[in-house]
Order: sequence, then structure tokens, then C-alpha cells
Amino acid sequence: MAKLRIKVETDLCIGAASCVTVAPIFFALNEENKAFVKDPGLQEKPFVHERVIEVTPEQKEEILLAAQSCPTLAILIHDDETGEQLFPAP
Amino acid sequence: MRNIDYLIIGSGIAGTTAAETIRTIDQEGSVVIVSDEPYPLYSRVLLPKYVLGDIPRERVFLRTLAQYDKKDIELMPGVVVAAIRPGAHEVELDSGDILKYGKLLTATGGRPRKPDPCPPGAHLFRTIDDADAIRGDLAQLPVGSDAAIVGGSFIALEFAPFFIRAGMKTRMIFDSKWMFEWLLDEKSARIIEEVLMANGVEIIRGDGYAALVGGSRLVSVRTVSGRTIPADIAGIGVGIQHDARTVNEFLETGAPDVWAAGDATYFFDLTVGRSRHLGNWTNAMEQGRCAGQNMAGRRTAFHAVSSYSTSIFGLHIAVIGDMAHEPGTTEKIIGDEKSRDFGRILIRDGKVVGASLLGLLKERAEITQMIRSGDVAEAFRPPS
Repeated sequence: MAKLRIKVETDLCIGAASCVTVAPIFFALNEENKAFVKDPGLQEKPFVHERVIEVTPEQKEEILLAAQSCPTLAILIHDDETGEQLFPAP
Repeated sequence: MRNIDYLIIGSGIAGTTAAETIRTIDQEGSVVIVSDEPYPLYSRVLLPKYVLGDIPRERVFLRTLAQYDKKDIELMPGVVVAAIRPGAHEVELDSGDILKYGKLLTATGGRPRKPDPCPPGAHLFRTIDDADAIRGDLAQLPVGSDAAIVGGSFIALEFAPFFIRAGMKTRMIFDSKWMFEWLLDEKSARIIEEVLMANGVEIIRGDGYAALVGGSRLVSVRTVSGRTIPADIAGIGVGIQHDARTVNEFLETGAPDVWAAGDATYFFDLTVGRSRHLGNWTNAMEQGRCAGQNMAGRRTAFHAVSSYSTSIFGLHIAVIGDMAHEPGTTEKIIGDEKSRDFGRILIRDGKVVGASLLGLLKERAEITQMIRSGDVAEAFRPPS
């Protein structure tokens, strides 16, 4: 299991929802048409744009794909244990 | 003559995603992208924000050249393909060079239809070069200049904020009866038009352009009915020409070892059971991924729910799935026009197949899921 810090930069998010298409368990749009991060282990509220979540390797892959799919690069992924930025790759 | 294992024509989101997908599966084969544009992947979706000056130019790029190197993907920018010979597994470049491929992906997108003549001051809007040109022109025209928008669909919509924010007298003309006539019902279109008019755009329906008038510089647009619309600048959005290839659900073209992905395909949509064309970022990305998987030996059917999403002067517009009125399609309306939360849901064979939504953000995820799963919520069952 890995710990990922997932953040949606809301001023870059335009609500294209490709992250929702790729990883609907982890991303959804709120009432302002901005993406927020879901933790599948918790209830949907509160709508937060940054979360640390423990994920399996398959889930990590899915989340990275979602970040990659964003047409405005609004999703940032860090390894929460090492602090390394995983996406966008520096 | 060069031998390349995986050759991709087109460096947009479909081609780039395909290349990156192939590389995650096959770390050994050579992967080469050729593109007639001189840039790494950039976001067409971010171009409007760049034109408006809301983001700097560097922010539009989604990849750096170093990121291609790191993945061992070779990008050949500024290269034009002259011919493709599938029988010989060859691609000939403008330079005369021959590339011999093991597998080929065409992800060439499309080019905007260009009026003839198209005097300086009349702008297409597809590439970052187009965006640079629009910015340049807007910067040198005074407030109060006349601006014309030619067209009544997505690109035409993008031009409205550019001209309104620049303080220009803006008129939109199109030959259809209402905006998005090919995609949306009249009520939805009127809501969009009212938002544009409330923000200062004059809309002239049912009268398309006959000619763009001007010599060294655009002066006006002459309509089919003979009206002259003064124009110091014009935004042109009258469709795309693309060499769309028909592909099956595995994005195979039928020519041996040739796939196609993105805007330049007529693809078989498993969700709705028919072939369609779609010019949309997310769809192109998903097709790029699917094509890459198939090229690298993982047979995968393309099965994704398409959606357009945009917003104009605060009005959110989403079109999901298939909006074609095939026989047997019924519709359900949700919301109401006055509140500008207005949705039209299309149902066929007991399943939700498509939806157009103005506002209604909460409903968007639920409806998308219904289209994806094929389930029909009780509320959308046709009366028996």
C-alpha cells in the first residue's frame, strides 16, 4: 500500500471531468463544477480538494492516469511518505 | 530508410497518450511520434485561457521535450507526412525520407475549414499559433472595434469572450436556425444565445457568411442574404476537415498494422451501437490509450462515454453520450429554461444514451454513470 497526497488546483480546474471518467472512485465534480478528491473509505462529504489516501498499486496507477488525463494539469500527486512529486513529473 | 517498431503520426493528446501507453507495456520497441507542428504536446483545452491572458504561454504545454526523452519516446517535430503505403509498411515524409514501421497509428486530428479568401484579421482557432495570432490582433485593435464571429457552434462560442473582454462591438452570424442546431434542441440553444446576448453579443441567425471582404486586411463579412457586417477582426468557426478513418471497436483501420485514434476517426461506439465521429479532448485521450494498448498486444475494445464540457459567461454546458435522434429515441426534460438549469435526456431501447445539460451540475455525474452502465433510473423510464 502506498500513501498518496492528491491535490486538485481549483483555479486550473475547468470541470472537464476527464479525471472523473478515468477514476470515478477518487474524483467527482462539486456544485461549482470543480473536481474534488474522494476517499473510498469515507463518506463523500466533506468536499476537499486535497487528501492523503492509502492506495493499492492498481489504485495508484488509476490515480496517476487520471492526473495525466487532465487537460489543464490541475491534479498534483505526491508520494506522501517520501514527499516526492509523482505527477506532473518535475 | 529507418525501421521503427511503433510509428505515430500526430503529437496531440491521442498520439502522445498512445505513445506513453505503448511504453508502459513495451519498454524495448522504438516509439516515434512525427508531427507537423513544432511543439511537444500542448493543451487545446487551455488555449482560450491563454488568449484571454489568464495563464502564461508556458502553462499551455503539457509535456517538456525532456519528458519524451525520459520515456524513450522520440518526437520528430515539424515533419510532414507525404504518403502512407500500408502494404509496404512505409511512410514517406515530405523530405523524401522513408520510415518503415512495424505498427502505425494515425492521430492527425483535423484542420479548421478555411474560408476563401481569408484576409488577415480573420482568425481560425485550433492551434497555439492561431492563439498567438488572435492575441496579437486583439492587442493592437482599439476598444469599440467591430468584431464578427462566423459560426454557431463550439469554436464560435470560444471567440465571444475574447471580443467582449476587448470591448468590441460583437456580432455572431450562422446559417442554422439556432446555435448548435446539429447537436442541441431549440430551447437549450436559446438559453445559450440569451446568455451571449446578455453579455453584449448580437446574434444573427439563419444567415451564414458568403464572403470575408478585404484586401490586405479584413473589412467586413458579407452574408448569404447580402448583409454587410463590419469587421475589424473575425473569429471563424465553421467546422473541421479531417481525413477520418473508419475504425472498429479495437481502433483498427482494416489496413494491416494500422490503427487510428482521436478526432480523425469514425469509431464504432459500443455504448450506442453505431459509428460516430467525435472531436473532443477526453475522447481523443481515451482512444489514444486504447490504440496504444492494442498496438502493444493487449486487445482492448474502446468503450468510453463521450462528453463535451464548456462554460460561457458562467453558464455550464455539458453534452454527454450520443445526441443523435435515431429511430426509437424518446426524450425527457429536466429543470426549466428560466433558471437556466435545463437538461434533455435521450432514451433508446430502455437505456439512457445521451444528455445535454445546461447547469444541472449535480445531475451530471449520475447521468454519465447511467449512460456508462446502461441502467435506467426509474425517473427516466418511458411511460408504459
